[in-house]
Amino acid sequence: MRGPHAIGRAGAAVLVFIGWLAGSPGRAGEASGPSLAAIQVAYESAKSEAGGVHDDGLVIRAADCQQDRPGAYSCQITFTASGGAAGRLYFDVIGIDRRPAGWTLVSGLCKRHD
Amino acid sequence: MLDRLFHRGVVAAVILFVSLAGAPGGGAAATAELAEPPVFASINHVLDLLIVARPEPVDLDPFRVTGWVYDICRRPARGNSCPARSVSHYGGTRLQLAKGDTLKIRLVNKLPPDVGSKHQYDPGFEYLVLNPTNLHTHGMLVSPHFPTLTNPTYGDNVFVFTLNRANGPPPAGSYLHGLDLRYGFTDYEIKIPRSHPSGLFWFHPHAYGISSNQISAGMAGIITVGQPSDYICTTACGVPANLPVRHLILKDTQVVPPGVLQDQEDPLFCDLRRAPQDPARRGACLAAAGTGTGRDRGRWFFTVNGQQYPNVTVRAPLGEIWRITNASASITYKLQLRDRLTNRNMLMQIVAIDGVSVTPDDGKPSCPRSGSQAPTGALCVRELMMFPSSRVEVWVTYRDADDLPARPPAGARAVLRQAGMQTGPGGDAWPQVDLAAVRFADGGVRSSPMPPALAVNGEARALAEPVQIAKELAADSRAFPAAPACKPLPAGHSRRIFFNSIPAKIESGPQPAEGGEGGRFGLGYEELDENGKPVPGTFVDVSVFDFTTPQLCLPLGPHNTPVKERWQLVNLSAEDHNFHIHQTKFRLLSQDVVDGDTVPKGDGVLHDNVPVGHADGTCNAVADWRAGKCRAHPVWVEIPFSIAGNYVYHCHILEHEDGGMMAHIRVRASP
Repeated sequence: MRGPHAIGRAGAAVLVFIGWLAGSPGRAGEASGPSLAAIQVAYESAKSEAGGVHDDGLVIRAADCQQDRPGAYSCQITFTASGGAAGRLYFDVIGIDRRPAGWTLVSGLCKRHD
Repeated sequence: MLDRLFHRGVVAAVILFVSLAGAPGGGAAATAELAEPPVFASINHVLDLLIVARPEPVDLDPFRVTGWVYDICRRPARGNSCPARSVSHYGGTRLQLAKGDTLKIRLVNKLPPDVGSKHQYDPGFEYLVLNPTNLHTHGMLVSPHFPTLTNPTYGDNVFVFTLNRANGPPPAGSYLHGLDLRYGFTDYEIKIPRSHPSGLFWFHPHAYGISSNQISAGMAGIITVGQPSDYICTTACGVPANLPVRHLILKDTQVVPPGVLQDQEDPLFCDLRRAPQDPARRGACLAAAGTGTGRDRGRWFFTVNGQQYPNVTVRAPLGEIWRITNASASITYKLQLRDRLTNRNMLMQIVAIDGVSVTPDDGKPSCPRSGSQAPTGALCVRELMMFPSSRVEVWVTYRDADDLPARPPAGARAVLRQAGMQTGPGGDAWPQVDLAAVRFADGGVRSSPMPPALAVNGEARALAEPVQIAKELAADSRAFPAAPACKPLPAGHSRRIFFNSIPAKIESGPQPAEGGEGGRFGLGYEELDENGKPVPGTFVDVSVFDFTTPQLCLPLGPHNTPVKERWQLVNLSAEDHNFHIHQTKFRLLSQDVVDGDTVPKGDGVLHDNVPVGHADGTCNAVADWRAGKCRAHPVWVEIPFSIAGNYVYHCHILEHEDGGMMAHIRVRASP
């Protein structure tokens, strides 16, 4: 399983690019909230910054977001985990804010069970 | 001891919901005849329901309050709302199933925020203000499966919370590890094994930290599998096949003027006994002095099917079967059927406990015999001690001076009474309240003599080895694959579970001698060897519940067959607790006497909850107990594990469970 610092430079660059795509003004996803890719990037970023809080290997499969206040969204997300039981689906409600640096995870998506 | 209500300020917020009340809900007028709970029965082996948890006006004389109820309807083709004709009954609804059925439920959360729950002030639990909920099918031997790509439903799984999106998002910084969190609704699909026992079960919320609040506000109903005639010998034994059956759902709710339901209950709300100047306690007790006067004083309601002190008329010549559920969050009932003429407690025959019919236990008869007619070992009692979550099924019929069933004389009456009890020196005083007026009408002359006891073909003995349950649920169990760290208990070893309060930490000054009041509750653990000695390195001190850290893990036997373990339950606190475990039932191996009542034991009786009496003396820690500073009264149980999954065991006094007295157990498929 890849640790928080195991993403290579190339991978990090891809994530940054995806994050830019998802977070750029006027891009698809902003009007109704963050895209799946943006949430994935926000999770990867939060995982790197807050070591140990978020589990590794979580893959966002679906999201249903609504704006709670300007720039602040809450989303119900469906995700899978690389270390989870085969085919197991997980659910969480996350808080995600649009900030100058991009979409930022403010709550949720930690897992820690199987 | 439960905390006294600490936030009168919550009243104002709840009044807001009262003001939103519409038509009255399930509360019924006093002295009405007891009505059966509304029923939803399976069709073609499926019961597919929409259950909406929402606020509902409830009449509890003289108040109209806002409770939280389950609004239930058959699941519509579209949408997450029930039509206006749906059932939203404060008293509780009955779901009727048969062995082999599938119970499908879409649970929708439309509850308001709960500003009254005390645990929302615990660090990390701020999200409880959002009033998350979930569902547990208590006592049922079913899979707790998780959703998958091919089946996105949950089984009887308490590791999922559903939020009402209208209440807003979780607070920033919330990181709920170890459970699924969902907006709006959650789908459950629960397969009832064909080898499941016929009996009485119940459903209720199980959201850690707030379950007692939701149940106190009204969220609970019952589930019945099969019929009592599945285990009571009727026609062949001279008993009519249509022996009447009643369902009695016992709930309690506290209300303060001008009509605000306190979902965070106060155990000192009423005195244990009625003050001479106060009115008779019929379905309610008046708040203890200091909370108001006369009709302006609050009331603690003790309802049967949502009704205050209803009339129950027993008409059949052979009496009735009463299926009783303690659906209160924290109250223990000591039920008596007090004969008004003789002023003594009438005898009742127990036919089932916790959803499983009891097998007569040869050599220990307690029902009176008449000639050679009585089946041996029939179990009769004059008092039913029912800790929270208990169910019991009893045969109620008029009895003469010799305690034998008899034709009732004119005017034969009794009162169904909650006798009240004190749950230990550091515990709670549950008040004495009369619950229902019972009238025995002359049901006519029988052509054959009355049997002194019913013959019961109990399922408990067979279920002590739930091989068929394990077989039927093997596919679900395989979804929880074996884990290397999950090892079986060595032969001859057993497990010890500690129950204790955790004193609140005070920064300076004297520490409280007893936990609970302002503190938390917890469970501890150690493994015992074949000589009953602790196995070094296995001790885990008493601690509060943690979703992410299982206290135990064990694999099923070869080919996912059941595994039996012996557990010793050791209560170190100064109040009684009530052990409950999900996904299994257990046999009581030791004598268990609490407040003078003996819990039935033996091979022919299974439980899913059992009281563990308080210790004598003070033990703030396990080390105190080892040093002899208190004397505990351990209870031994034998638990057969036949279903893999992640589940819990806990004290079912829900104030204690919400306060941390719960642990996470993982049962895994066999390697």
